[in-house]
Amino acid sequence: MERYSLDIFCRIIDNYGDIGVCWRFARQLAAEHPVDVRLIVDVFSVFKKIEPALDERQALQTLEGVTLLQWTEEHLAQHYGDPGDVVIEAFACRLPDLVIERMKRRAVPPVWIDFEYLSAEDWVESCHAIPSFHPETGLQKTLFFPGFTPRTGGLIRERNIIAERSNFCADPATQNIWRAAKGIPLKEEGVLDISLFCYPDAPLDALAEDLESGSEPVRLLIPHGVAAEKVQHWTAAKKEQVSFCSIPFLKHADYDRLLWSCDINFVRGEDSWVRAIWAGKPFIWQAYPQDKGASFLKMEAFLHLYTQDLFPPAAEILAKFHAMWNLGSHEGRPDPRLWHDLSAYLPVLKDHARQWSDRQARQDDCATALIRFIRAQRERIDTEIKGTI
Amino acid sequence: MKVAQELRSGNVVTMNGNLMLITKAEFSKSGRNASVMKFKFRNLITGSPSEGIYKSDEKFDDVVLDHKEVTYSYNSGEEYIFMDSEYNQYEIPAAMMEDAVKYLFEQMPCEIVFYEGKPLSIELPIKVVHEVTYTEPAVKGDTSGKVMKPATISTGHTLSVPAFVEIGDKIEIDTRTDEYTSRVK
Repeated sequence: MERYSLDIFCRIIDNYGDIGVCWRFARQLAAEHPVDVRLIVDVFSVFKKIEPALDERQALQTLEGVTLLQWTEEHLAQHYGDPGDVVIEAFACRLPDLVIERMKRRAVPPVWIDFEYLSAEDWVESCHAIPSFHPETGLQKTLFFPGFTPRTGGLIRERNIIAERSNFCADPATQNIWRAAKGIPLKEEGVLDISLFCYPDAPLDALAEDLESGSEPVRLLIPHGVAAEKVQHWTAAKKEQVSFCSIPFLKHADYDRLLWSCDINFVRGEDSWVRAIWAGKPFIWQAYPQDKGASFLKMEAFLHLYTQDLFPPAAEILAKFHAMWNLGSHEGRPDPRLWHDLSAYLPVLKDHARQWSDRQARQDDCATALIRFIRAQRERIDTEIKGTI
Repeated sequence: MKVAQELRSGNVVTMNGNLMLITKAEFSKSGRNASVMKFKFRNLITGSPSEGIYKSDEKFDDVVLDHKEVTYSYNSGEEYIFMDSEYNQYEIPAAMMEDAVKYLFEQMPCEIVFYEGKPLSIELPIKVVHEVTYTEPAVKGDTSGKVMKPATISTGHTLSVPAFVEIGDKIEIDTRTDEYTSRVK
């Protein structure tokens, strides 16, 4: 099978989402497919937060089979060389002029891909993987959309992740050994563990109050740096039903285990959202905040897909809870019985989450879909070149 | 130069040395950064159709063609008839109208685009005002504009509007993106 060189360019904008997706994808491509992957990232200090093994002082290094290059003009000029057979511009991060010029000079043009954001909206299927003439360079560029249906690029999913999850979840002792090693409180009988990862505008006070009114004890596990001020405030307030645990900020593999070992996961943006799906546990998703109601539309589109065969009363309360969580503090006080109502359906939501996860896992994953697309494009390019000789 | 989001059906751009007429332009709100535009093109020399997907901030070389200000008169079935201030009539085949029919109303001012002396397409104003003829009742208390719902305007076209919009309201629409922009008092 032909081996390709593949470059992924990633600019870190404001959080861990872009680099989270790119680092995970780069590692998976390098580990599971015949590709030599280079990941070109601008802000190493943020990258290091999710990958502690990264050496910030080294502009060029290799980790887990992926060549990492710091994206500065100087380092690109010194280390970049020729573009790969495939050049991926993650989330339309705009390639540097130097790279585009070298792409134009290549004897065989690279397969140029803009790897896009995940969305469940209908329009994604009709925009996915359509090679289009790039007006400024004359090269072909393709927007590649991850997604939930076979007519999209699928979701990022490592080959063994479902089996690893099953093994981990089947053994409570293993879960507690892992928790102890990571400084996370051990599981307690009768206590509901909730992991919380959210944007700063999430209605956290309302959630804390709502959880307090529930009928069973709840423990919120919050990675360090997320809602830090609120956590301090809540810890001091000493709630009866709710306890708050600030836990270390975890690298990818450990964050997966956190999601697997909790009863409910609050996730945000893109990377943690997809991981919550593979966790097969009930989750509440906060979409990346956008204007003109765009994030709300994305939330509704996902829930429409996710709740299609869910018991209708459970689907209704799940939608209400998501609306509360995504509309934030703009809508005033949410319904104080939301948590009470949601928790009544937890067994149903748990079964549904596992079934939905299993069903998604039966579709091709994003890396497989991408490699298939690249092969088809390379064949087309080869045919075109042969036709002109 | 124009960015993709400024282009509409009726515009002509150059791509790879070809003159391409945009026959359909669709706008979709993407993730955090620029939105996504889906274009259908017709090559003005060969007549062959194609399509392309672009980020809305992608830059295109637009071609300046002759324009004439007209108003929309009527639809004869196969053609849409427009008239200039000197009462000259221009016919645009229905097949060339594409998205423009979503917003057309009698006496609507617009521009005819000519290529080599022949009427080629029409360009609409960027903003048009239409009355909402049907939408579900407003959600009580929601004035944030975050929650959207479908609304039908007088041409029969349906688009997303904030939940507080009601039947009879006049709304301004951006014809480049098919997005609600404001409620008109």
